[in-house]
Amino acid sequence: MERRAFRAMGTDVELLLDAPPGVETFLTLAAAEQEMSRLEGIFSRFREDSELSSLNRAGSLHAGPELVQVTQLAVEARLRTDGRFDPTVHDALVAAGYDRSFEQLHGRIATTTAPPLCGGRIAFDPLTGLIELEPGFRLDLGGIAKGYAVDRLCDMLAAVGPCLVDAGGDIAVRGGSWPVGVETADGMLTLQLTGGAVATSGIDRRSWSSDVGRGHHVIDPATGRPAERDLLRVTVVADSAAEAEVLAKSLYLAGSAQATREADHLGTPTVLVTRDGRTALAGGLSS
Amino acid sequence: MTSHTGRLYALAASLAAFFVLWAAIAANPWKAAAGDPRLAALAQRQQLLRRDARIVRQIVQQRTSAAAARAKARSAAAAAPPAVRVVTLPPLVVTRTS
Repeated sequence: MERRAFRAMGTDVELLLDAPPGVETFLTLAAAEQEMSRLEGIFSRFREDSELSSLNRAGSLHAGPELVQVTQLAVEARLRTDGRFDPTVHDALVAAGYDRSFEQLHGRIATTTAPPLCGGRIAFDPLTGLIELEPGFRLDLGGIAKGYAVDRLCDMLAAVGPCLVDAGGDIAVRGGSWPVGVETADGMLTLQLTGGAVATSGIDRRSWSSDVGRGHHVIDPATGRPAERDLLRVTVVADSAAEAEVLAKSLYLAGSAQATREADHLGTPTVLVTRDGRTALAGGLSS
Repeated sequence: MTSHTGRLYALAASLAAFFVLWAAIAANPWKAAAGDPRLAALAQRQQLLRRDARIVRQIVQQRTSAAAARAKARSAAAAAPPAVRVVTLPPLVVTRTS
């Protein structure tokens, strides 16, 4: 088993490739790391020179195919989740204090009192690559872009052998059989994956103290503020990491009862951990 | 006299024939007429536009096929969620809030 670890997109990335050591394996892992860095250069909202930052500054942009594709995925996800997943939460995140890379957030964060609106219009033309944002709205593609990158890296590695890509908890596998741990209320359970991806959304990490209380990165688009739900975290298994990211966030925002119903209805394997210390399995998953 | 007049006519006719022939040769009727450069530019532009249109059609076709394939893959994936089960093995990696 060959392994490569590095930091990208503000998180730890680990690549596991079940292939004999050699030039091809080494070059593939190196190319995957380079690809992650290239994708960060497109999707990061913290880098001034990223394509996404250019779009957010100008309000419209003739973008490259990857930004168009992920924007399209995000818009489709917003439709499918009735707006619970929303890529126009950028200003709400900034207002909540998440205005720089999480590694650079220290101490108490000042927040603005009036929450910004979410649900801005996004027009895009896949043929010309033109993306236009409603004036006053900016895009945050953080989670879905990371999922997209994980899927892309996994596809690259899969050409050489069974593989796993883990980017800060967004995990995708191709081929082989991979035991993936999921934190529960009182320990850990292990899911065995042979394909697809896992992602977790919640408020147990990436949170901070602010002048109005505890802040975190899961914004409720209905209010423009950090969400208040009965869930601590939701873990979802889906066919891709981008889709798992969308579903995990959407089910977190649905609250435990509705999330369980939706996961069962969609047949989406899901682990829900509530704030009062309960763990529930849904979507056909059973212990 | 008659013979002299006849020779004169013959000379005039020969001269006329010579000038007609000279004019015909000078006109280069076997060489294609040089076209208007604006027409040539237009024809070249038309060729370029046709080539671009062909490329655009190919791209549209490729993207349409790719979108259809993705939609099909998504439907198939929705119908059959990824194989997953709970096991008692120790985990290799752990998913966490990202």
